Amino acid sequence: MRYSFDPKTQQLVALAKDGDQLALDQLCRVYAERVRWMVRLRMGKELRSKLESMDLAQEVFIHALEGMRDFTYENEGDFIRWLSKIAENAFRDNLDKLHAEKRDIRKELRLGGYGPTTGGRFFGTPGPIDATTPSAIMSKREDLARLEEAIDKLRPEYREVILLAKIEELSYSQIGDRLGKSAGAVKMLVSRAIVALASTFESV
Amino acid sequence: MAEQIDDNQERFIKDAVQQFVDAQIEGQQPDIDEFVKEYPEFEHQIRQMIKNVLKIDELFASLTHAEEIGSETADESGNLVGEKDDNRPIDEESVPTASSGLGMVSIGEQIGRYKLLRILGEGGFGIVYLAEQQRPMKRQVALKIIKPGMDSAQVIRRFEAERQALALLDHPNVAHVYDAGATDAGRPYFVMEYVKGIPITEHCDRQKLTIEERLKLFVKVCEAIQHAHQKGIIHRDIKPSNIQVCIQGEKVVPKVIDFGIAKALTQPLTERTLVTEQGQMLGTPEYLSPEQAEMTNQDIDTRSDIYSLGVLLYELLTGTLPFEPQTLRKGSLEQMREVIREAEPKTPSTRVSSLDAEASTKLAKCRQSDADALQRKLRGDLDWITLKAMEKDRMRRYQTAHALAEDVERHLRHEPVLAGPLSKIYRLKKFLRKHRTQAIAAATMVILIAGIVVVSVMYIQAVNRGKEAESIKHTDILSKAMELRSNGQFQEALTKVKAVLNSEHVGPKARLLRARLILELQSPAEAVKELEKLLNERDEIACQAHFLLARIYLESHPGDPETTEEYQQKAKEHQQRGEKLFSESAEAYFNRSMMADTVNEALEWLNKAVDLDPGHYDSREARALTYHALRKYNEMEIDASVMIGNESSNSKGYGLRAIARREKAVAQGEKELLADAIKDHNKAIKLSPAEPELYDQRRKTHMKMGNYEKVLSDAKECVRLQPDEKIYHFHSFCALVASGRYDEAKIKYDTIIESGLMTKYNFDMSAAKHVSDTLDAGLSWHPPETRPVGAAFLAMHESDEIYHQLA
Repeated sequence: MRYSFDPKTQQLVALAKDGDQLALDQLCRVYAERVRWMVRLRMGKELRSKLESMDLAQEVFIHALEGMRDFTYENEGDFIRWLSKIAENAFRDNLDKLHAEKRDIRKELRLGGYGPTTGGRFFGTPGPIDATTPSAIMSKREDLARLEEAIDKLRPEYREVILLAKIEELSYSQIGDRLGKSAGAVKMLVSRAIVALASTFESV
Repeated sequence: MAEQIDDNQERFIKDAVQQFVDAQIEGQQPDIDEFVKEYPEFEHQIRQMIKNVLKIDELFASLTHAEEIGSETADESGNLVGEKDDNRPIDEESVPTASSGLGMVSIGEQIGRYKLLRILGEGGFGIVYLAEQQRPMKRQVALKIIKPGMDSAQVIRRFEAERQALALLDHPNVAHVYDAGATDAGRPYFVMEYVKGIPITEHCDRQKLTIEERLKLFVKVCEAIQHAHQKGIIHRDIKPSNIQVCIQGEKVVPKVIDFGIAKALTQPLTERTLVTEQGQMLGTPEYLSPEQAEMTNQDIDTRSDIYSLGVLLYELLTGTLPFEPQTLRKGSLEQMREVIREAEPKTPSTRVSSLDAEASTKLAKCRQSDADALQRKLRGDLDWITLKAMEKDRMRRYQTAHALAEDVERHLRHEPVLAGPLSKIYRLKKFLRKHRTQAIAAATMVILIAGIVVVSVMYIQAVNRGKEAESIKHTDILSKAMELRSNGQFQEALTKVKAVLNSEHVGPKARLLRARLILELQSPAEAVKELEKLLNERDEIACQAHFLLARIYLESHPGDPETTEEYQQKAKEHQQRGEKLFSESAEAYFNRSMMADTVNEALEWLNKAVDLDPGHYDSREARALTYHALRKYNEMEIDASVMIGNESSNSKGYGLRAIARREKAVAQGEKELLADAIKDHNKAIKLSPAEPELYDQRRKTHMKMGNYEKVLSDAKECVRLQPDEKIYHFHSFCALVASGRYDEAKIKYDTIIESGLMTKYNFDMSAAKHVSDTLDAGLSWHPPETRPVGAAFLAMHESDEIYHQLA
C-alpha cells in the first residue's frame, strides 16, 4: 500500500534545493508529523516528558533545510530516510546535552505530554469562527496517542521494526541490512510486531 | 465482546490474524469477509483485530500529510470507488442495505424508549432507523446508532461532546435532537426529529417555485445554518438531501437535518477513509468546499458551510451543479480535488445560457419563466452572490451565513448587493500562483503584474523626489511587504514590514499596512487598535485608517442588535471623517488605489485620479498595468500612448504600449500589429538600453513572430545584462534550439547545469513547459528539418510526444 506521491516529493525537493520557499513549506507540512514520530519513538517514554518533541522535530527540519543542497534524491523514500538520519543525530545531540546537565530525569515524574485532547471549545462566536471543531481532529489525536502507547508497550525488537518499517518506511531488505537478517526473517518479524501491536492497541 | 476468551483461543485468533497480515506483507489484498469465513467461531474477534490492523496502518500512513501535496490514493486504478453507484452521490436515504451482519441491533428491537421500525439509511459509521417512541408520547423519530466496531471509548466520548453541542440547537428550521443514550452493550445513539419531507431541490421543482420563492426558502436555510454556527457547530455536509422541506399545516418549512451528526459518526476524513471498506465515498464531492476537499481536516470552519450553501443556491437557481458530477467523479481523487480547488465555475446565468434549448426551456418552466427571462434574472446580482459564496478562498466568501442571507434579501428588495463582479486580478494571481512551481516562465508575468505596479511605481516615486538611499531602501522593503500581501503571504508580509515600522520615510504607511495584515490574519480587534493609533497621522494616512475602520465595523456581525447598531454608527462616523480628510487630488486617489483590495477597486480609484489630472503619470502607468491584468489591451494601449505623449523620453510608455500591442495582436489574431509592437520595443530599449526586462519583452514578441534569430539576440542581451538570472539563460537555450543551433544549445545546457544555475530537474520541467506552450501557440520549438539529439533535449521530446498524444 505505497503512496504514489513520491515523484511529487522529488519535485518538491528539487524546488526546495533551489531555494523555493513554497516548496520548503510544503515539505515541512507533509513530513512534520512523521518526523515528530521518528523523534518520539526514539525517545522512549520517560524522555518524552523531558524533551519537547516538537522542538526536536523542528530542529530536524532546520538541519534538513540547511543541508538541502547536499542531499540528492535518487530512490523512492530517500527523503524520509535522510530525515530519519538527521533525526537520529539531533536526538543524540539533545541526549548528550541532557546528560551534560547531569539531571537524572528518571527521578522526575511527569505525565506524557501529548497536547490537550479535551475539547470544551464550543462557544458561540459570531462572524468568522476559528472553529476547527474538535471532534475529528480530537479523535485522530486520540487514536495516535493510543497507538503511541501501544508501541511503547511492545517488546523492544518489535518496537524497532515498527519504527523502521512503518515510520521510516524502509524496505524489508533495507531493514534486513540494518539488523543483519534476511528479508524473509524481517517480514516475519514485522508481521508478528503488527499483530502484537493490533492486540495491544485494542487493550490500551 | 462479552465472551471470555481463554489463552488457547487467543493464540488461535492471533494465528489467524497473523496469516492475514502475512498475506498483506506479501503484497496480497485478502478480502476480510472471505477470510473470516474460515473461522466462523471467532469471526467477530478476528474481524475486530483485523480492523485494528487496518486502522493502525491507516494511522501510520496519515503521519505523512500526503494530502498536502495532493497524492493519489492507494487505489491503484486511480478511480473513485464511489463510481459503481451510478455516479450518484451516496445519499444515506438511498442506500437502505443492512451492513455486513456484525451483530447489529435489529428491526423490532427495543432500544430504551424506542422501537426500531425500519432502516432509513446507512452511512459508513452509523445507521439511521425509523423508530417509534412509546413514552411519554407516541411519535415517530429517527434514531441514529453507531455501527459495531466503531464504538471505541474515544468515539463514544466524542459522540457525547457532540451531543451536548447539538442539544443547544433550537431553531424552527433545524431538526431537533430529542434524546441520546447508549444501548445495553454501550453503543451510543441519537434520537432526532423524523422529518417527513423531500429534498429542497425536488420540492422547488415539483411546486414550480419561482426564483424569488426559491430565494426566500434559501434565506431560511441560511438562517438555520447561522444559528448552528453561533453555537459553534459546523454542518459540513450541506446538500439537498440534508435539507428536507415538509409541509406543516399551511406552512412550508425547510428543515436542516443531520446536523453535525455526520461528523460525530465519521472518522477523520483521511485519504483512506474516503474509500472505506465497502468502497463507499464519504462526503458528497459536489458540495465540498476546496478546504474540505483537501482533507487535511485541520482547517474546516464555518465558511466551508458557506461554500456548500453557495453550491446549493447554484443548484436551486440553475437546476445544475457548478461542476458536473461526471467530471468530478470520473477522474482520480486528486483530479477531483483539483477541479474543486482550481476550476472556476461558470456564473449561473452563463450556465443556463449554455444549456441546449430543450433543457433550458424545461428549466425555466420549473421556475415559471422562459429561458431568456430566467437568464436575465440570474445575470448580475444572483451571479455574484452565488459565486461570492463559492469563492475558493474562504476569506473572500461571505463570512457568515447571515451575511449571505442578507445579500439575498437585499436582492429581493432590489437594493444593491455587497457582492460585486469577481476580481480578475485575484483570479489571475491565483492562476499564476498555481503555475509558479510548474512554470518558472510564468514568473515574469508575476513580476509584471504584482511587481511592477507596486514596486517600480513606488521605487521611482522615491527616486524622482530625490530622497536618499535610506528612503529607497525602506520603500523597497515596504513594497516587498505589499507584494507579499498581494500574494496572500500575510505572515511573511508582517515579518517583512516590521523592519520599517518606525522609518521616517514610510513609517506610517508601514503601520497602516501592518494593520491591514493583522486584519487579514483575522484579528479585527487588534487591527482596530492599530488603526486608531494612526488617526492623527497626516491626512492621507488618517483618511485611509478611517475608511478601514468604517469597513471593519460595517463587516462585523457582533450578533446582538445593540452592538450591531453601535457598530453601524461607528462605521458611519469613520466613513464621514475619512471623507472629510480625503483630499481631492490625483495623488491621493493614486495612493488609495495602491491599497485597493481588488483590481476593480484599484481601477475605480485610478479612474478618479486620471479624471482629476489626466497627466498624472503614475496613475496612467498603474492603470495601464491594471488593464493588462484585466486583459483590456485597447485601454492599456491608450494609457500607454498618453504616457508617451506626456513623457516622450521615458521608456516606460513605449514598453507598456509594446506589450499592449503584442497582446492585442495575439488576442485578436491581428499579426500585423506585432510589427508596431516591435517599433515600440525598439524605442523603449533605445531610451533605457540597460534594462533587461525590456529586451525580454521584445524577445517574447519576436517569439510570437517566429523571428528566432532575434529571439536569440534578445535572450543573449538579457543574459549579458543580468547574468545571475537563470531564466534568461534558459530563454537563451530555447532560442538556440528554436534556431537550430543544437551544438551551442548543448553547451548552454551544460553551463546552466554545471554552474548550478538550475537543477537538472528544474531545467527539464521548464523545458517541458516551454515545448507545450510553444506547440500550444501553434509554433514549433525546433526547425522541422532537423531534430535535436542528446540528453539536453530529452525532456523536450518527451513533452512533445505527450502533447501530441493528448492532442
